[in-house]
Amino acid sequence: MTKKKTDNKEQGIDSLIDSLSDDLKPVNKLAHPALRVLPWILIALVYMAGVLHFLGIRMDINEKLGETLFLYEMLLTLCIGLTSAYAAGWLSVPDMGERPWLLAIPSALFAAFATLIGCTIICDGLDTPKIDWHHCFSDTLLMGFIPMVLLLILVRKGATTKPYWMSFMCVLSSGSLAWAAIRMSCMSDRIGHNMIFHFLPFIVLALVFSTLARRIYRW
Amino acid sequence: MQFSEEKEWQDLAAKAQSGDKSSYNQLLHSVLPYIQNFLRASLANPDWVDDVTQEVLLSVHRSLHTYSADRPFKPWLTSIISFRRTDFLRKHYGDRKHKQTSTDDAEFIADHVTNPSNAGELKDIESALNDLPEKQRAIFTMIKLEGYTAKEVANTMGMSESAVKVSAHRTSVKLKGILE
Repeated sequence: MTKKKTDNKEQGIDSLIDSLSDDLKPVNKLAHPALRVLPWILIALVYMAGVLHFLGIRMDINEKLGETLFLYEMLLTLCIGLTSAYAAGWLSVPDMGERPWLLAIPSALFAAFATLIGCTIICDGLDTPKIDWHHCFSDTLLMGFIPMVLLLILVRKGATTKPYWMSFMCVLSSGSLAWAAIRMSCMSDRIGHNMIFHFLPFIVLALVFSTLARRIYRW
Repeated sequence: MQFSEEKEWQDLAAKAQSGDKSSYNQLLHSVLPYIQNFLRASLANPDWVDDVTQEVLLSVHRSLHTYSADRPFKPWLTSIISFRRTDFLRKHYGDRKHKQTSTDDAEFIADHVTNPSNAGELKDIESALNDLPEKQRAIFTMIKLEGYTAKEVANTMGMSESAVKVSAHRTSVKLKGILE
């Protein structure tokens, strides 16, 4: 395509149009974003359930599922994961199907999640753990990285005009689902531990993916 | 009128997606004035319009599969135009192209070179400057061509004022030697 572009620079716009028309082949239309994202959600949930089974579910899960705050956190992260994946699906269409407001939903839910984290820090204190290589760090990456790459491959079939938003939504969807899954495995409820070993890997991934966004989603 | 045009684009795009070359050709010719008017209204330099238009047409070709015929065509097209325009401007300003002028440009020579028959000398100066070490060239360019004071250059380069003056002077002497 680059060669074509260079060649076409010298041609007039009319001849470019003629050459593009000659090249036209019937296209495989992109399916509805919901239909494209649904298989990803199912695969991601099955994958995370598998990893959770491998890592082991926390001993006190029955007790935790009785806690309103824990349930709220789980529900919130699940909603963030689903809505951001749906938004990523729509982002792969240039005009987002005239639904730019879709970005506001996962963003608002993420803001609610950040508020929850902030309130927990204020109430319980940050209690930062000693920073070293902790298995939770690799468990979190194991949980979230593969679904994130799968989503990235899926949305690259489209043509986004908002690469930074796309990166954010991809990291947010797999990150929030992975957060929910890892919280069902890790016994620690200390916010410092969760921030460093469960949240930080996704901040790092978000930074990397944002930096590379224009390259990753180039079309 | 607007509605019928929109409907026509929608129909042509749907046919183009199924491989109808003449509809596609008609569609691209039909949207061309819209693309060009949009770009003319939003780009500072009219010379850029054709470049960006070509980018937009290629992008439409690449992303035709993302268009859904049950949605209006214009917003889909407009978002591609905006995206390619922003891309073009980012690249243009990122490469500092707005600060570069080639001495091969006849218009530039006519406007900026007092004696056009001496334009070749300007190229010699440019080439001599390019042969200088980077730091020396930067100091010389800032003082002699861009009009910064020695103090300003010293602050920018993290050098003493006198060292900057000495460097600029030595570069002048060196250039004279090269050009003689």
